[in-house]
Amino acid sequence: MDLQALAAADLAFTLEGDGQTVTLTDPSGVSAELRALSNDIGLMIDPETGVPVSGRNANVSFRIESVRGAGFTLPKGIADDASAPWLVTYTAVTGEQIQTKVMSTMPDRALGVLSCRLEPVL
Amino acid sequence: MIATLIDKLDNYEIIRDKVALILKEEQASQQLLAADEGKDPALWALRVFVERSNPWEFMRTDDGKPPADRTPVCCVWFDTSNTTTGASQLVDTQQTEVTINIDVYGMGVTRVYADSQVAGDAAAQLEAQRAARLVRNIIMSDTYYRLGFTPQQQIVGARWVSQVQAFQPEFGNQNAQHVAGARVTLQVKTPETGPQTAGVKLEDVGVTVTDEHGEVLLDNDFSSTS
Repeated sequence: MDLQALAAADLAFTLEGDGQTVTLTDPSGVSAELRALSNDIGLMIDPETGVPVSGRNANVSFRIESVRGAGFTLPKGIADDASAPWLVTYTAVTGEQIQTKVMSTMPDRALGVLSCRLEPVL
Repeated sequence: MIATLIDKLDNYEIIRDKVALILKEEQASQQLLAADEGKDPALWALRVFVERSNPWEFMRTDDGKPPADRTPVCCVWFDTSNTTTGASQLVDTQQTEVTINIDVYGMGVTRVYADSQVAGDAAAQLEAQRAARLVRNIIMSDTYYRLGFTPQQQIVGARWVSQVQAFQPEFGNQNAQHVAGARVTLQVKTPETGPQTAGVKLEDVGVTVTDEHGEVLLDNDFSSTS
């Protein structure tokens, strides 16, 4: 087993073995439940007025192989208002179910993991 | 030593508070006018604050969902007061140009539909600009030519919005929530005074002026003070 194959096997174990179940929905409305790891942490942002505003960093990481295995292309941020975005619904450790859209993605093709930056939606 | 207690507000403080009061009253009035015309009053609502420097946490909710009330926030704060020396006296009255900033914050949350979306980042900027537009129009309406003061009160000589500037959040690329800020800069000409020492009477001068027939033309007493 080469180093990349070893990393891929470790990723399957660490990300999906200890992960949580989240729902991924593509712009056409097709959904699937996948194992993933999510983060949802408060932060402060500077709107440049000199007074910080409460912000939030929410993201989820999928194994690329699992995303493709569920029949999806890789999620990405969609800026076009004329298209629905990719959606991710996860349950926070505090119990709330949060619906978000994928704002942007950072695929790591060395490890085979896709990190998605999320944004809560209405 | 100054013999009297300095127990007053300077004009720049009065003006700052007056601007906040005007915005608070007018946004409520505009909501009533909007309702009368069958429009959504919420689009004319502002939350008005004075001199707040704590972090704004209006996006933070108990359940982690976007807040239901996303009314733009408006913070009125004093920035600078510059004396116009050519129009000022050394002793009692100085003419000043005061800068009051009105910072507005708009929130945007993406609204998702079956086959479309309204993006939250654009919505935040549009909200901030809508709030800035409301503020500018209220302040620059002829109703507030002197910000609600009378000429006799000699508080406001002139007022104008010198700039409206939009900001982009510095850490926007890490943030899951969209807040945009805009600054409406208001400049006001106003006189400022300081405590004045009461004069000490040195002498009284009585003056009587008569014509060649002895008829009194002028009869007055004057006090000479230090």
